[in-house]
Amino acid sequence: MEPPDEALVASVLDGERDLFGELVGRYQGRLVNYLFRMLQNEEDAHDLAQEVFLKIYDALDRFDSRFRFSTWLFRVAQNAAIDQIRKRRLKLVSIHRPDDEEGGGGEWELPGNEPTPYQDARNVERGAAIREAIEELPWEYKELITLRHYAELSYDEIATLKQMPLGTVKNKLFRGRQMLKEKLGDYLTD
Amino acid sequence: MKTTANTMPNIATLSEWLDWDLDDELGGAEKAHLEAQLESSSELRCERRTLAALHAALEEGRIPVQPQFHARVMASLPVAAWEAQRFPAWALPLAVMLLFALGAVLTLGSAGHLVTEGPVVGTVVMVVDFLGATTMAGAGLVAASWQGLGLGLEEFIAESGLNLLGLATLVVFVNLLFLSMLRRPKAVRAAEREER
Repeated sequence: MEPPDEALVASVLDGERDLFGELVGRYQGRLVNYLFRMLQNEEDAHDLAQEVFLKIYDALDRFDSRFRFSTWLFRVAQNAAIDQIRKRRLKLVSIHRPDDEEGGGGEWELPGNEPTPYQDARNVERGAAIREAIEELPWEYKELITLRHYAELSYDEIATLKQMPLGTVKNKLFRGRQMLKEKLGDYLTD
Repeated sequence: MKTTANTMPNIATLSEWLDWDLDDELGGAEKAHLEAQLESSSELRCERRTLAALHAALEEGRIPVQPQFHARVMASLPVAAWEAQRFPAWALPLAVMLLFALGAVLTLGSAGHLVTEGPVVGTVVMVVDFLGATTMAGAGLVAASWQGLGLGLEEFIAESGLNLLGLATLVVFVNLLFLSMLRRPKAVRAAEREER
């Protein structure tokens, strides 16, 4: 059975530095994907995820074991992402290339894994539609959807992180998904 | 909307339950109720399929972590401030005290008669004697100063009732000051936690 996060933190503070790698391994996927959703750039997401892990390591002695490590990690990540967005004044990335680029305008090529060319094209279109639909959500709903589906936090963890009642988290997630369902319509019935 | 076992939840509530169930966040009683409704309602089953497709679609957009990411993070870990404070706080003062004791022994205890059973044992005996003597001297000084302070205070209070009042006020204010100094670190820690 895997040791809990809090036990790993205690071991790292006792001098077992390598065990921090265990924590990195557990959370790198979720953290990178959460930051990718926030920053819309893969390189930036990896760079910021690295920064977040280093900040966490530096502040490890201040971790309060009464709270979950995941909540603390994603609170730091959320603040870092918001700072980054403010600094860079991020624009939404269009899925269409500008017309003056070589080769003319068109959609970004995105990976698909379906056997037929039609299904390939349909998947690309669907992926882009999903990304756009999430981006168009009001911020409060987009944030909760991102925390649930990309940071993979439970409803309890989200409620603790956002300092929101559990009922509010549940209702907002439901409403956010209803909005996505309306936008994505046909893509969900294929 | 709160429902009981005897109240039929409406379609809006059932849709919410479907959504939360797909996240494994639906309670036992509500889950059982939902399963019963699903068996009898094709509309609800269709809604479930659509919501399940949405949940799956949201998971599809995940990106892989770069293969060298983990190694990059571990290689760039800083030497944290807490790593430098590995030794307990009392270690340094104890080491300094022992050093002084040793110095005292070497400079003051060089007379042959103080070494009883060899230099090592003699040194230990000297250190113990030195510590004992300083403790006695220190205790004596403290006792003498408290007695002197007590006599002085007695005289001061006996002079006038106002003096007693003034002294009592001073004691109260000093205690309040100490209390506020004790509370300040707790407030700082609480603020740090909130910030985090």
